[in-house]
Amino acid sequence: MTVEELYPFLYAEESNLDAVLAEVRRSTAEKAAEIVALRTEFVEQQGEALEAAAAAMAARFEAGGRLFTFGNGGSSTDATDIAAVFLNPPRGRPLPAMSLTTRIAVITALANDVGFDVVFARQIAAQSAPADMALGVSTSGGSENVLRAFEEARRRRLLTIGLAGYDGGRMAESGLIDHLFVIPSASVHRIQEAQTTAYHVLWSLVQSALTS
Amino acid sequence: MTSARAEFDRRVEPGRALGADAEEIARACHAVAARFQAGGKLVVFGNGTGATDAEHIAVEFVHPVIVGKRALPALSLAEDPATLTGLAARVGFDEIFAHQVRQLAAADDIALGVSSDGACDSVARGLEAAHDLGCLTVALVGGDGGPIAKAPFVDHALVARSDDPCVVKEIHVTIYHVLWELVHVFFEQKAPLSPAGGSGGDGSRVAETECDDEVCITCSDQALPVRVIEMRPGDLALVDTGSGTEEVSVALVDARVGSTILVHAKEAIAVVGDDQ
Repeated sequence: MTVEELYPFLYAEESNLDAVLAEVRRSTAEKAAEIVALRTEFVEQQGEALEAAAAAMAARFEAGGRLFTFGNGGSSTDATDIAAVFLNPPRGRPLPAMSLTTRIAVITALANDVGFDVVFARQIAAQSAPADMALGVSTSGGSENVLRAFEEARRRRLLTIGLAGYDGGRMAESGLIDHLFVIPSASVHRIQEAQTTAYHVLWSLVQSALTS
Repeated sequence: MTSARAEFDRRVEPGRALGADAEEIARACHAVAARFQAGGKLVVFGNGTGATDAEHIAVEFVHPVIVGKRALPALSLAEDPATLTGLAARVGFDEIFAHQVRQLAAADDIALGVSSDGACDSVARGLEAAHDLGCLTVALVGGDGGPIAKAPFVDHALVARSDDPCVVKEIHVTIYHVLWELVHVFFEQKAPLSPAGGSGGDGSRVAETECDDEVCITCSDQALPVRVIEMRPGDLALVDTGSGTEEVSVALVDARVGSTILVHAKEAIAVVGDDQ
């Protein structure tokens, strides 16, 4: 969608500041309503699956498993945030988790020597044990390096959890992901916002499963 | 075990409250757009989850997800462990952002601090140092806004209406996505972008862009389709922008004379057509 299509009013004529502010207020309120509705749609579709994933993850943590997270761009910051909320939680029990996206020496070495597609898969190969978990985030569901990491994780019998958007893309087609959550939206921004809620709730449900 | 549904239901009210704060958000975005227009850059910082927001915000502006939006200068102060641990050990944790602000920010810039409860001393100190330099200061906070929302050195405090740091972060992600989008709306609309807000603004700065960003492809990623008119050594090409010529890199694409390419920050990122 172009900005003109999103804000037709703005392009009708040269507007003054008050008119523009009125329009952006309206669009901001609309986006707020949109993300509230998207979260509700998601939990209605996939809430029970989220509970099942949390139970499976809690069992892995109880068995000594660790969580590895990965993603690109904005999703790399989600990967870091997921690891941080498990490792250093605002409440509850700290759990072993690490983001593969913050290892700059390893990532640049792999990208330089082999290629960007292996930056997460090679780390899974080096670090993981069969009791562990791999959680990958991609808005499109089509990031090659994320898919390669899932391949490696599946080969090593890790529990695999994925967060995607749109229709799930190649992550949905791959059959490599035990628990895949697809945010039903075409907006990268709204997908990321709903994914943030999804992984926070996943964390909260894991905490709840570990104490019950 | 708690149900997923109950967890999501807790998010509805804070999510709706964001819509009620649209006025404050719009005014903050306008002030931020004015600073970018005047040549300022965005410096972002936060602790813990806020550090990941800082990185996300920086990549949002530098490399937008929507193809064709210009790249804007933004820098996270929370992603360099050598600097962060070095400052924490040498000067103290509360100074980790303020010190970087004083070295890396300038009067024209925008400082954006993220703090779930509005009570992070390091974020407050960073915003105060930025204010002292003349920067526009914006805070993303939660709960009742904490001391940061009330601080005299904060020009715009945007508050996520929840006491749960996880929910606050989720609201913040929407706020900064909207922030990015509205900054571009203000640019494209050409609404009056007088430097608003920010005590350091003297109200008289003019844009110092060296070129009209409707045309110049070297300082933005407007993604005008340009046509290759001459291949040059070193993976360079002379291209026709429709209103002049420019030299760009074609190292990443398989371009030739006659190719139509999309250019991002002086680098061809895609071939969209070939005449030959």
